[in-house]
Amino acid sequence: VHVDEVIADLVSASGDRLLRLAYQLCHDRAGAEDLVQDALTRVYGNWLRRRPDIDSAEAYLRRAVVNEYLRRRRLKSSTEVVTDAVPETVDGGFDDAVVDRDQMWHALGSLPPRQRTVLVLRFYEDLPDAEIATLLDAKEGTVRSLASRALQTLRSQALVEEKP
Amino acid sequence: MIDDDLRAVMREHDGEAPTTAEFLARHGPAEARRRTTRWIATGTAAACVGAIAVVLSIFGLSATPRPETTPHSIATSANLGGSVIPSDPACPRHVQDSNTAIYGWVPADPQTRNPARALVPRATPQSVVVCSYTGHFIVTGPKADSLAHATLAGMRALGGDLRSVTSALRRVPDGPDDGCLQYLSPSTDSQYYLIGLSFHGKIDWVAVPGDHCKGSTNGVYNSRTNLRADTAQAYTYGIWDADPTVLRQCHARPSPTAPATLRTDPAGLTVC
Repeated sequence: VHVDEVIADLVSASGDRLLRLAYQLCHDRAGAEDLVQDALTRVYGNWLRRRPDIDSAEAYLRRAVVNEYLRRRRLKSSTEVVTDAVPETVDGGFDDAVVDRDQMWHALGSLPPRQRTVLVLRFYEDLPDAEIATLLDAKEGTVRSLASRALQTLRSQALVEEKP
Repeated sequence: MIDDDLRAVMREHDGEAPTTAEFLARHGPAEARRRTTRWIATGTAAACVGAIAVVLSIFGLSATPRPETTPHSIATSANLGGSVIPSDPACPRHVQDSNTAIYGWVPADPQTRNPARALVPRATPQSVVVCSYTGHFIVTGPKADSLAHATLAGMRALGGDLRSVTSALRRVPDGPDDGCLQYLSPSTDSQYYLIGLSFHGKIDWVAVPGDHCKGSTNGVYNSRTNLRADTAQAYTYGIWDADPTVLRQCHARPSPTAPATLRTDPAGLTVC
C-alpha cells in the first residue's frame, strides 16, 4: 500500500475526529487546520523513513496533533511548574453548583497548555490516565496533578451561582 | 459533576470545528498538496535566489557572500529592521551536513560565556541574522538522510524586539530523542538555517537543520528540538515572534510584505 493512499484514507476516515480534537485544544478553526496539516505532513515524512505500522496511524496522528499544539505553545511561553503531587483538598460543593458553560469554555481556553491537553484527552477523547501519560511522555502522577489543577481552576472560574 | 459538565461543554463546541470537507477544500488532498508544495518550495527557493540577486545588484553587492572579515547582511524584502542592516554575524557560504550527525552544524563555537547551559545567553543581542541554505536532501542510498550541496540562498537581519529571540531559544530543552515524532515538513527537509547572534561583538551560532529528525545546537548545547518552522517564519517575516493571527491577516491581503504588531501601542496596530 502506498503511503499517499494510506494518508488519503486516514483523512477521509479520521479527518473530522482529528480536526475536532485540534479544535478542542486550540479553540481556533484556522489553528485546528494548521495542527492537522502539520500532523499529516509529519506522518508522511516519518513513513518515508521508518514505515510505522499502518494500524497505529490514527493514534500516531492524534499524538502528532497534540505534540504540535504543545510545541507551539511551549515556544510562546512556559511558566508552568508541574509536580507529581496531587493537591489533597479540593473545594467542595461543586455538585451543588450551577455551571455557566460559556464561562467554562472560556476558562478551558485560558488553562496552561498541558493542563488543557490533559482535560481534552481525559474528557473529550476518554483516554485513561495511563494512556495520556504515555502520549505526553509523562508520569501518571503528573497527569493526575495536571488534571487536578485544571479542575480546581475551572471550579474557581466557571461557577456562577449555587443551586437553591 | 464537573466531569459531566466538561464533557457536555466540549461536545457543545464540536460543531464549531472545521470539517474534513472544509479542510480538504482549503488544503487539498494530501498527495496533490505534497506534490504542489514541493514544486512551490522549489519555485519559491528559485524566486528567492533571483530576488536576492536583484537586490544585491541594486546595492552593488556580489551574490557571493563576502569574507567573514567584512560581514554584511541583506534583507530580502522590507522588514521591521529596515531593508539593509549592517550585522556582525556573516553567513558562511556553505553548511556541512551529514547523515551521521544528530544535531546541526555551526561554523564556530559560541563565544559567550556558559554556552553549555542553553542555546543562547540570557542577554539581548545587538543583532540577529538568519542565514538560509537550500540543498538537495538525499532520501535513499548510502548518503540517505543527509543534505547535499547546501549553499547560501539568502540572509535576513531580524528586526523588532530581539529579546524575543533569546527568550524563545533559551526555553529550548535539551530533551531526549523524540523519535522524529515532531517537527516534520518533508518539503523543507532540504532547507537549513543558521541563526547568528551578536552580543557586543561576541558571536553565537545556532544551527537549525530542516531535517525534521535533527535537533538544534550552538556547538556545545544540543537539543532534540527542531526549530525549523519558527526560524523559517522569522526568515520570511524578519521578526522572530510574529503573531500567527497577524500573519494570516496580512497573507489574506494582496502583495503582503512583512507584518508586525507594534506592541508599544496599547490599541494595537498591524503593519503589513
